[in-house]
Amino acid sequence: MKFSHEWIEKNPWLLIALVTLVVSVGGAVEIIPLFFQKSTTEPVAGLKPYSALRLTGRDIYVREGCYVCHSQMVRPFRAETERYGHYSVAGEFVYDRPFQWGSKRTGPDLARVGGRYSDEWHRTHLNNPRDVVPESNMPNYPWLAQNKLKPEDVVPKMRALKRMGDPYTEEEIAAAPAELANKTEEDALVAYLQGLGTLIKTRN
Amino acid sequence: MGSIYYLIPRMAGQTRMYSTKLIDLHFWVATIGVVLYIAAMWIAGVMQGLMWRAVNADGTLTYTFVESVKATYPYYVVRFLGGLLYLAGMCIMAYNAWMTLKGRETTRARIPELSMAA
Repeated sequence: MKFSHEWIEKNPWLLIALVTLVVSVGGAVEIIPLFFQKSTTEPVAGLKPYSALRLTGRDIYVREGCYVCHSQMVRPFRAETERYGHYSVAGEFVYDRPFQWGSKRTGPDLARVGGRYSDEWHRTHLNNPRDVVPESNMPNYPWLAQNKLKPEDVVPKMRALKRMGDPYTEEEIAAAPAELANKTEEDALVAYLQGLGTLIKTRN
Repeated sequence: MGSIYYLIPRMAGQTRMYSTKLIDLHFWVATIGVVLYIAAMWIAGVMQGLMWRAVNADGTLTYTFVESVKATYPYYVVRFLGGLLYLAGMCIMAYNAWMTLKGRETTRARIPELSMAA
């Protein structure tokens, strides 16, 4: 039979095989080089794996679904960099598993929220956002200040991340529960937020 | 939903729903509801995007983020009304289905035996 367009379209299995081949090659060419590119695999200068407290705070960020309304991705447009700071680069997310880029901004982007407000502002804001931003439509998270952390919970998380390649030392893992002793979920979340995007600065 | 309107009377051994007028009503209530919902979110989204990127002549941002949040509130109200209409349509359908099925035996469809010959 002649190898024609019609022949391919009339043979579903052949069509499926060829489509799979085309998509795989296209995907492989686009994706695989990223695994070996310095700009995507090298952490930005000064980036360290999350400390035990920030790692716990990050999990609370995920648990509460913050990513549903807050992105963590400053796009390279003038209005964005004007509002949030330097655009996000891949090297900032090397230790993010999974990343929290998000896709929706009911609230503002948080990629560079670290250091922008005081710890006290964050505590007030998490308890009731309208106490500091009257027009806000963000829900209250009053339980964060009440819930105490379970210090030993962080150890298996850090071990799992170490296995994935995060450079935690055994001493850091051993010292981790002590860092969380008598801390609340709010302490952890605020610590996480205050470190977000602080390594790249362009504001003069 | 159209397919369910088709199936319900057949399930109850009927030829038609309890009220065709209520089906029409459901259709229009749901259509208007969806149009309100879509239009409100569409306008709000475009407006939000334009507000985020608006800059003054001197290069500073025109709006704070929370101003864009505040500006979308009227559209959320319209969306709520749209959603309410859509929900009302579903309630009309539930009533219609209830009245159609009330007191009726559901039909026991016989599955014909396959002939072993052939």
